[in-house]
Amino acid sequence: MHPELRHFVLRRGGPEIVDDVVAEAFVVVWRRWDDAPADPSRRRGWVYGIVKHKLAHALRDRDRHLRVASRVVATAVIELSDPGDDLASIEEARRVLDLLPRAERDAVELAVLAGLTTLEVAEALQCSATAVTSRLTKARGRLRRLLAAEGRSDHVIG
Amino acid sequence: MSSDDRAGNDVAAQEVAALRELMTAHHLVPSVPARYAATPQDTERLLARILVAAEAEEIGAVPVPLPVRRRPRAWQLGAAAAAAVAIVVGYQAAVVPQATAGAPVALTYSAGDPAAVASGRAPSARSALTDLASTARAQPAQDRPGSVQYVASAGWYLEVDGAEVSVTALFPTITQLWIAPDGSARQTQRRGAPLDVDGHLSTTAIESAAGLLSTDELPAASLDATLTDRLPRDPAALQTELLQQAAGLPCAQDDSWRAMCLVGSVLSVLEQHAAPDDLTAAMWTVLADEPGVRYLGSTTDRAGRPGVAVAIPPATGDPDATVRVLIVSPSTGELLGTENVTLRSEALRIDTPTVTEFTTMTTSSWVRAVGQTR
Repeated sequence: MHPELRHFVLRRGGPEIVDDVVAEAFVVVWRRWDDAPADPSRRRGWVYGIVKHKLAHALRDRDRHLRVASRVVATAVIELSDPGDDLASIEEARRVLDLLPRAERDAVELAVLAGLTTLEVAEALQCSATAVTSRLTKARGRLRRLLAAEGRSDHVIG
Repeated sequence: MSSDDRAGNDVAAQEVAALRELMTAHHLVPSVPARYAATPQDTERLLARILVAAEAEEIGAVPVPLPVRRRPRAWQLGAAAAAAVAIVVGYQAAVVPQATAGAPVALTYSAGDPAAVASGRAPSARSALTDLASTARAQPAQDRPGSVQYVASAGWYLEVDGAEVSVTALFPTITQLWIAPDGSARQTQRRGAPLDVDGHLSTTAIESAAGLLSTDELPAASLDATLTDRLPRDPAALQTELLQQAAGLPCAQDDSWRAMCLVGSVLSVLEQHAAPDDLTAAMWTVLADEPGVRYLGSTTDRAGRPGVAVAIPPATGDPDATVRVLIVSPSTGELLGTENVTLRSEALRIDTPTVTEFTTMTTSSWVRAVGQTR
């Protein structure tokens, strides 16, 4: 799972926190291995739930640091990415998804970006499969409206 | 699965497909640049961090808000390494290939082998341990130029090849631990030079400064700096204390578990503290009375030092069937190191005796300050 979790954290958090988040998550996985679901189909979601928790902590810490840093430093951090490479695309995707409410964004990240099944997403988010589907439906509608509001309606499909 | 469940899954799958289509059309699912893919080095670092956390947690460095396994120290680290491998490479044991490809060469013992220990064919270690206790007790008092305990060791830990998601080797790690009088501590771990192909440590590995992996600073009262002075020298009282340290394990279940508990507690002291010789002697006396501790004979440890090897069989129900070997100096009675020999493990696909972990003690002394080595 290491490669796919790295990709997931990179998409949602950026390269500077990938190593820490993934490592800390795996340490928690090791410590809590006795709590892991016996059903292998649920374990992946369980691991992603831990990763999301660590990711949220890391992002909160980063935001805190950015708030206390000077605007110049914050700008420099943002400008580290080369607009011409795929990292800029990842950052743009993150910006758009961050416009979604937390619950919907979580479901979208796990179902679409991580490729988890509905049951795995439900395990990760500790909710029902029905709730996951509902969040995805709402997210799709909201995303379409957000994209339209940004003048990207010509691309909207579905 | 009911028809309602199937219908629900279909709806969810359609929703995900529609979302993916929408997001793809708007470039919201960009590919991850190849340079950010996990490399073998990334995976190595990840495993090293897990092992460091496991070690730090075991010595009390990390608050543990959740239940943790209660096992004797070295066995726990073995389990940690195996668990880390399983977690990182995937949950299916079937994806873990033959682990013996990267295993250290087994040491040889004059009087038997780990398989004989497991099968009960190895002789009792009573006489050997009694002699070792006498030797330790006869040592001159240890100098204490300072009040900080310093213990250093070298060991091999599993490494995973991230690209191939396979276990490829065991790599050496140097661990240094300082315990100050107030119970604060520092632990550093760094990769050492590779072992020689014959399984012996390079003599320059300890001096290598390459590859510092971690430094953990523990606040005051994190560890018990007075433990080795406080533990009783009377074997019966010491045995009681050691068994209490293993509380949570089924030490009373049978001889194998009792030996596992005692050896685990002994190692948790000797591998982390600068133990006085009289305490070490008392420890060997305690183990001499244990029928579960068997004699393997003389050997040469991975630092090239002569040693006497004793071992305990796998505890009843141990799924990895691992024999724990302790190597003790016949000239000083001090612990030289430990070896874990896994006889068979479904998770690691081991079906012949394989060294899955070892620790070679290189220093156990008192120094003037944390960070100093003399």
